[in-house]
Amino acid sequence: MASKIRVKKKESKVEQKISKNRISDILNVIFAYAQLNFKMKASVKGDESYMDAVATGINMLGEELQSSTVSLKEKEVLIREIHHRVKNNLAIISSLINIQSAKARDKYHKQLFNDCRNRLLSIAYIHQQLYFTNDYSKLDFAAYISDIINMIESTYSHEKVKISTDLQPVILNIDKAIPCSLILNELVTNCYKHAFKGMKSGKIISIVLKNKKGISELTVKDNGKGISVTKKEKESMGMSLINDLVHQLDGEIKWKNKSGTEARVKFNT
Amino acid sequence: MKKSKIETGVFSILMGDDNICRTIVKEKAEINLNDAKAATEAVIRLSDGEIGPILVDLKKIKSISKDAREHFTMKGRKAYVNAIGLVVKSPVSMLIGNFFQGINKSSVPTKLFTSEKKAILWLAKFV
Repeated sequence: MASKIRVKKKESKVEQKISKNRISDILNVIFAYAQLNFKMKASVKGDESYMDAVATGINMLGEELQSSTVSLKEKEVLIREIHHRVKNNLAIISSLINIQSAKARDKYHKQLFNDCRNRLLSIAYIHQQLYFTNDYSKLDFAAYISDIINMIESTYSHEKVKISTDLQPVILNIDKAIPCSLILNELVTNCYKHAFKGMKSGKIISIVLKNKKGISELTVKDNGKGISVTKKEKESMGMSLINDLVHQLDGEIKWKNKSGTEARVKFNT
Repeated sequence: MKKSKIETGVFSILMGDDNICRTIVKEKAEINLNDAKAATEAVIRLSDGEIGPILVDLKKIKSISKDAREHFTMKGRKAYVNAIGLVVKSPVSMLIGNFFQGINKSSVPTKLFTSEKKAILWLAKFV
């Protein structure tokens, strides 16, 4: 009797050891899957045990996880590629407009071509920024602003204007980023076009971007001669575009005429 | 009872007089995509391409690969069966059966049974 108990105890210890090894084997496989390493598989003995079912289940879930991880990566590559292509296509269109503008016979029409080209490029740079982010749907608008400034500066390279910036990181999704980029382009372009008539030096544009509790504030200010907003609203396409875009953002715009013109756009991020 | 029978490496497939096809997974079978395709071909041959219900006895299965599971979902291809009754018993077969109810859900009604009789009763409605 005693020897039977001893044998049973020994068998039980062996079983415990086997179970422990199998659990450890399965855990290692789970750890590997957690690290997205799908090469490992839990061993299945074919003994119709519950442990076999657990091992089989882990292996099968690993295969499914691997497959969805791969398709997720493929989607990311595709979205990245789309942003890249949209940006390139817009750049091509803007180049075509540029070529066309060279044939413009007067300054007025040349300006129209330039405005159109810069609006397109404003959108193109958004797609370029998205291409470089990991998210592909959101971007830091502060990082994007330098692209816009460079673009406008190169269009008005004959003007000596200093642009100062004070930018806080503001993360925007593409739905907000595109209208915001067009607003920025219009506001800065307006400064170049209208603010500094008659000024030879000391021309300054300041751009401030702030974000507090989900409300973003974009301010563009110049030290020029100031504008009559009412008159501009009636006449300028740029101004009506700004109003439409602010409306699209569900935001508001406030104008100030004090030592130049200040436009302050507020919207929920 | 049996009209005809086809043996593949991992399945025994036969057509019953009740026009319900039976697929029995052999002991410790490790099913891959080629096995799955061979089973489909055998079912089509036994049923002369007529669509009907099928009983799959998974009781002795050891494992089944992902592509084989996907093949059996019949998504993206013509389904030659209109209902699947899965007979399970061992923990592994229960687990695999449950995959066919969720992650690898078939495009036709699929039900798990622990009794072959009950499975046949349910499948008879699809004849």
